[in-house]
Amino acid sequence: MNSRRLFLLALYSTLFFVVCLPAISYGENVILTITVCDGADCGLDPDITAPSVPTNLAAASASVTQINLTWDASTDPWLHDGSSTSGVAVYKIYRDANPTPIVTVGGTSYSDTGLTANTTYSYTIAAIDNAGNPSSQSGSVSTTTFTSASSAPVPSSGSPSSILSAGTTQTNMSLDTDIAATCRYGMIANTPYVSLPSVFSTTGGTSHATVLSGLINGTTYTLYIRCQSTANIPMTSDYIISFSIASPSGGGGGGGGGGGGGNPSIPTTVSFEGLAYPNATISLLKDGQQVTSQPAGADARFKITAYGLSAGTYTFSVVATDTEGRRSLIHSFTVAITADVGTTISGIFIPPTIGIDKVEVKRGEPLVIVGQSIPSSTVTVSIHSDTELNKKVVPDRYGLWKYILNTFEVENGDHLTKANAETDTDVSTFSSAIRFVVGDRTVLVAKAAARLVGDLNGDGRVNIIDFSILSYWYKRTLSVAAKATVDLNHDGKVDLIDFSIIAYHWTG
Amino acid sequence: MRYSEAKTRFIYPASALALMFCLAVLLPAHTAHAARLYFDPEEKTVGVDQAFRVGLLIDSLVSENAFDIKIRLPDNLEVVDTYDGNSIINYWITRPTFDKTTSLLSFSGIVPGGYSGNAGQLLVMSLKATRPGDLYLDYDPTTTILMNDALHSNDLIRTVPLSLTAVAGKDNIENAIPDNDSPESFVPYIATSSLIFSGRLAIYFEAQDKGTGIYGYEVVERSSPAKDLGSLPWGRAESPYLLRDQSLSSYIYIRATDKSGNVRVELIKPGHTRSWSTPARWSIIVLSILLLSLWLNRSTKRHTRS
Repeated sequence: MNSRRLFLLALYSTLFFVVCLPAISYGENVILTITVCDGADCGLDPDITAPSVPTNLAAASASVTQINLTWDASTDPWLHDGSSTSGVAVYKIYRDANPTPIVTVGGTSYSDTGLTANTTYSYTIAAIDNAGNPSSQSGSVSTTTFTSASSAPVPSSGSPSSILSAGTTQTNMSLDTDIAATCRYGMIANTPYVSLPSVFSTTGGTSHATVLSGLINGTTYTLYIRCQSTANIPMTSDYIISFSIASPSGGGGGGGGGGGGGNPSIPTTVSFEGLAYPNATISLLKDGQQVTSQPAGADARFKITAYGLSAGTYTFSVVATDTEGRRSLIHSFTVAITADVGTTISGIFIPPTIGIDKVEVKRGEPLVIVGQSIPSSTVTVSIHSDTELNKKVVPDRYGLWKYILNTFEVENGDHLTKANAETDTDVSTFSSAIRFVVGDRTVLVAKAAARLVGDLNGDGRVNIIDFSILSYWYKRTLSVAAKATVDLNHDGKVDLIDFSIIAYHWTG
Repeated sequence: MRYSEAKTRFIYPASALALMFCLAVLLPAHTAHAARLYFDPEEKTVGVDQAFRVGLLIDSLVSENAFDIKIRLPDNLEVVDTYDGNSIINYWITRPTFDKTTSLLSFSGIVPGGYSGNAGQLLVMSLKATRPGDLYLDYDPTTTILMNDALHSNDLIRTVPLSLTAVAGKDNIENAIPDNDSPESFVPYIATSSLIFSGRLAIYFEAQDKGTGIYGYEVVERSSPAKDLGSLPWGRAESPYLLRDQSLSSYIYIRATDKSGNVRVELIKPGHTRSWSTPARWSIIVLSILLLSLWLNRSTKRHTRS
């Protein structure tokens, strides 16, 4: 900053503090407008200084056709002290050393889409300030789009394939595929993949297995199997596994007659499959109580199955815990179960997790909002203020996303923030909403002391114990301790709203 | 004035105004409701002094998680029984009860994670008309359904009443609900909380039955394993249940019975690991460390003297 500008800035600052401030009474609303103008309009020297080169440019492959780019903001030393970014207007992104930028963006992330599978792309980036001065291009980074699974899976090593001994009532059926796939089976030949009634209990990788039960002596079983790749390309012809159960030797005794059919009984199951976050832990709740959990894949896909069901209406819930321990909202499904039928509910898109670094933030300080989603998505962070703000961010290759809120953008007071994710084909519901306050002090989130909303007994879960404690206090006069803990909406009583809060934050 | 002129000058504008008025009045009334609460009777004309079934269903466009339903019944209708086995409600705050003084059948409960969808069954009522005539079932205005959102908003529900006719000499459709299955296996939890029973140990449980629904629970605590569950001195219990034996040295049997008499018994063996609350857990750990250091200190001194 030259000496003339420094003098003018000092002069205006002095005038503001000496003349304006004393004239303002406490409690008045003051609108302070600062106009940033370029040199010509202000009568100052024009800005001829280039902004700094963007740093930490990173490229992450998100799918077979998409690469996500992120970088750190440049600074523009003309108007400010070099730590501010407000002088930088846009960033130009260059691909494969082409002198023409592929796009000009305002933020610090970009998703390059429409790319070719299994192809390496390199990128550089340059910042442009408000006066149009370009920075030098950053160093080049490159990455390769995912390989396309362009062909259907090829199965092999099917088992069993022989005559099993008499008295065998159940057996393990297994096969391998050359690429990761999901396999289904049925008793009717030439059934398309999507119409096959049963899914292998272990599937999704290259080894697939399931247990067939209810087998009968002297019967030959023929099962027709088809698999579908993770790129959703199904087999178009059957892979057949055929085996027999031997008849009991000797023992005379008559007939046993015909036996027709001989279908092995299909266990009553419900499977849930969809997308959560890379390596998340997926838990399945049956009527509000956890029955099983298992990890999602590195591609964020999961499949989880409930066994031992009877005919009737169940509420199943799927909840994901991300790699940093944050839990998603539970995603519930009311399902009418038919006995001896394997049901699959697919296409589940778990909303992102969300967390913040401060529960109270001094106006002007940044609020960091973080979470995890699927890498190939765009996350919209919604901030409920007098005017709702919606900001878009792109997760990294691990699905982790971050948005830094400039708290000057919102009013003082209470706010809620939540997030949802969007892919080319689907939109998730919103995450849980987190409250924060913008005011005159900063209070960091105390991780150790943070208790889940609705966790009345402090065991780290919201479940039947908390529900029972709340039920105990329902319509009773609250003790002082109970008022502080079980009256979740602080209206002086335990009523339906407190139960609704427990149901919303349920973890099982 | 000719008719065609009058049509242009008055009838068309009047019709347009009327249409706008209807849209203004009627549309919000129908579009503002995210949920519809309605009855599903087995038959619309029923015989007197015979039971018949009516389901209570919900269609909901948004996710709902808490229900407080009150149904007003006419004075010529009696409640024979209610069945909540296949209800979308998983945890009952108050199970269905009929109050003759107010003629209200009430229940409340929650669905963790919420319910949205069509024809979700809340309850099946077995009812009986006591005399011929019209039967009108409606909802008390205090009926409340809360949305599964961060604000726990009270949803605007459209309630659809039901009109039936009771006649003498008609046979109703068979009323029995087949249920030969035991309640589902359930997990009882042992836990302490400073909020109830002065922090003493209690068990927490909730069973599900997909047939007729849970009738009730019984608990027995005994010092030795039972040989014949049927002959145990079962005592009626509710969750949470304060344990008599706070030392956890007893065999605790919890029996859930459905409305068809099928039972499921779960056992907690002595020495079961309790679900400690966090303060209790830390208190025990700190106390143990203190005692251990005292003991070590003493042993060291003894060794030094000898």
